Amino acid sequence: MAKDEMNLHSEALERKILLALETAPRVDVPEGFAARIARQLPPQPAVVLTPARYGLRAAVACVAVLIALMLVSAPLAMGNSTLWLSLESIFCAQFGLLAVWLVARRYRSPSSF
Amino acid sequence: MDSAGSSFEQIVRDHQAMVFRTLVRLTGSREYIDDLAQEVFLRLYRALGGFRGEALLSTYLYRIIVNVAQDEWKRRRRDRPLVSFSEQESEWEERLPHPSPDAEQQLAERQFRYSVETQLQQLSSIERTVLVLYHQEELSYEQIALSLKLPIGTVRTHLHRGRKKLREGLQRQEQTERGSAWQRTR
Repeated sequence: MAKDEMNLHSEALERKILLALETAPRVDVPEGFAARIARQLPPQPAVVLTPARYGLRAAVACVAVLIALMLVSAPLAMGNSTLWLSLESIFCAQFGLLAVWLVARRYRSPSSF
Repeated sequence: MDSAGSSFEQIVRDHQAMVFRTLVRLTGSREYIDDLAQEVFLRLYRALGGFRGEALLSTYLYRIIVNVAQDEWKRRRRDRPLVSFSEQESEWEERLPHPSPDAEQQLAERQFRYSVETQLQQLSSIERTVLVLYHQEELSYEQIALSLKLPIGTVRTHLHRGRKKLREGLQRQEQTERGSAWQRTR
């Protein structure tokens, strides 16, 4: 009996706590608060767009590496080795593609170089 | 005023009531609330540049409110004495005549709310924040977890622990009040 009463009391307390927590405090927002905030806003810093140009840098680095590889593999490819001839062809093809891409990029956006 | 200013003014207007009531609950005081709300919106404005819309603006805003409230607690510990908003409210409210016949019940409810506010301020900052966001602001576990950058399980734990501490604190307070009332009657 006493246990039931305690349970009832505990449940009632729980309900009261939840009600108190759910009741938001009454707060009056000062008149014209939003307008005052908007007036005090600092000027937005100008957005400086400095493109990183990672793609261009990577392409130039690849071109340099490919030139070095072609120079190294050219004498070996001359010796009738199929492997080196294939590699030299692949390097040449990659070099050609990169060169086309870089030239196309230059014509598309003249300021990118 | 430029268009950015006027659109931000609209954001302020849409969220100002939520910012004020949450700050009052989290800081436990109405003092400096205007300045704190202003700080919240200025921080939001500064942060809007990095806002990519991956989270709701309100989630972002709740995170800023919690940070500002925590800064206020730290500042208060250093130099400002706490003036409870419930105390401030009760000062003038108690001078008014009770308008309805069940005034006693209203008074009891108000006193209970005041006790809850007092006990709420005894909780740890994170427990108080989770309780306020869940019960007052009706955010889901996921939204609270996003706002506070906590795992959902941790949010649940803080909520459960916060409620338990609050209940125990209120029960202790009730027992103390009963004890002192009994002593007065003797």
